[in-house]
Amino acid sequence: MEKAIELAQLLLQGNQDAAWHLIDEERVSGSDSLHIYENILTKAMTHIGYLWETNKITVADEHLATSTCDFLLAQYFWHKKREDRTSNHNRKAMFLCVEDEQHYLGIKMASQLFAEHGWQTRFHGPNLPLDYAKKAANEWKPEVICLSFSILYHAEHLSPYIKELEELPFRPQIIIGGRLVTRYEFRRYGSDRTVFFRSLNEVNDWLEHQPNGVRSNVGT
Amino acid sequence: MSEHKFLPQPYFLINKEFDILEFSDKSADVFDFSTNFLDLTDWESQGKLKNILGNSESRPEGEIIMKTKESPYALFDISVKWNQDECHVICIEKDHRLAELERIVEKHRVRLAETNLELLEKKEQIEKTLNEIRNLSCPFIRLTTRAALVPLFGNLDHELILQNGTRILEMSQDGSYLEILFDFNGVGELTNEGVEAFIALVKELQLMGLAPSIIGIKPAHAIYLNSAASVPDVPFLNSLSKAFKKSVY
Ligand code: B12
Repeated sequence: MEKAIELAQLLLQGNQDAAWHLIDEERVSGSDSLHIYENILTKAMTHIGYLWETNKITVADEHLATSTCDFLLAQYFWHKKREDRTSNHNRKAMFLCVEDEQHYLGIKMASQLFAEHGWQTRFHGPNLPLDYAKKAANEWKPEVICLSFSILYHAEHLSPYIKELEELPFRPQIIIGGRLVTRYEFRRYGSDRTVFFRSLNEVNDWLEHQPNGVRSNVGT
Repeated sequence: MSEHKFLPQPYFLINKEFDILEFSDKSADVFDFSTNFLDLTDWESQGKLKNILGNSESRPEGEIIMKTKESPYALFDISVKWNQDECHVICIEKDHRLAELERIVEKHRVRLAETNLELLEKKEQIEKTLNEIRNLSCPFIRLTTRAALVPLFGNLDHELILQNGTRILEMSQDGSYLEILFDFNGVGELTNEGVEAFIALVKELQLMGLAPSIIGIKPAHAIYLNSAASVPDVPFLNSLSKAFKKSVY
């Protein structure tokens, strides 16, 4: 937790170098992605949320912190991919936030986890209207489509997204995540095929139980 | 009703239970009517609001998410001032002032996304070119109906053989070749893995009834070839003309 609070301060200063140094130290000392994503980056952002709630910072500060955190994720992924010997396979997963949803850091982490497990990924970022999502999915035909939302009002988008994406001819697996999934039950918005994940740990377990998800030492 | 009605911003007068006692016309424009001020606030801002309103220690101002006619989560700056049991609250919408910042942040985000893609694309391009170079580094040249020349260029590493071995095997079967001459004149560095892979290829050719030989070995190469785990049982000839003579007769 201390590391997360320290990182939160650096993110709020927009201090990319010092923030990266902190993450890189964790990485080099052997922390895995799950730990770095869940216990350091997510906790730092949650702490930033706490600072806003206690009237210490403003939404403008959150913007700067977000931008820096986004940079850290990209930088971390770059290093991770370079040294990782996990073999890639041809399974495809697509990632997006439902319409109007701007909170994309969480689903970016999820997409990176998939990629680290050798999946081909396409990350569409925040606010992807359903029509675009369907078009992109139809062209690329991913086996898995992951959706994220953070604002309660956006839960109402879930039903149409899940229904219409699950109905696509190649029958993709829809996976839902986001901070509220941990707190409330959203199953009624999905079908019996829809999967809801409450944390990256659950994503990781799922990935590791996939036929191609096993780690191997052969690079491709 | 007092002058407050004409204030140019949303204004509320509330009591300790957050009941709305008075409000400005502007408030009615912006918010749907409610009897309690808490109901105008997003559920995840209510704790913060209570703090700003109820805690004399805290600053009497701050950002709050409010439900307006336009949006269920609009960002407001509120300022509060207690006068005995009544509190004056002014709410100023902030979103338009944040728009510029949001635009800049979004630009950063897109650029970051593109940068990664750019890097990735470059890497893929380079890998493709490298593959092409490797293909060109092992041409299979027909000398006579019985002999072919395979000049190697560049470094003899594992990848070079991995990428070209199958093609060489296939082409050597395509005709009535007996001899395959590997020309090392263009070879720079050798790696142990490269040499092992090369020897494996030579052995495979031998298994298929062909007679491989090696020409143009330099002293630096010889050390590698001789120290290899299994030295190939093939003639080492120092020039193409010698090899050619041998193969013609
Ligand atoms: C940073 C932040 C922002 C940043 C956005 C960051 C970004 N681009 O992602 C900015 C400043 C842009 C922002 C804007 C707004 N925000 Co905001 N924001 C936050 C804050 C402080 C942290 C969020 C965060 O990044 N967390 C870190 C990430 C990594 O966590 P996560 O998303 O939960 O993801 C984890 C899991 O959920 C999971 N996960 C997530 N998605 C998925 C998907 C799949 C498939 C899987 C498997 C897993 C998974 O993986 C992660 C790791 O475990 C929260 C406060 C809080 N406590 O959450 C408020 C908060 C979410 N925001 C809020 C609000 C209201 C807003 C604004 C409306 C404010 C405004 N008017 O300006 C806008 C809305 C924009 C919009 N339309 O979406 C409210 C939401 C209230 C509500 N009713 O729902 C919160 C709770 C703050 C508050 N207390 O009021 N915000």
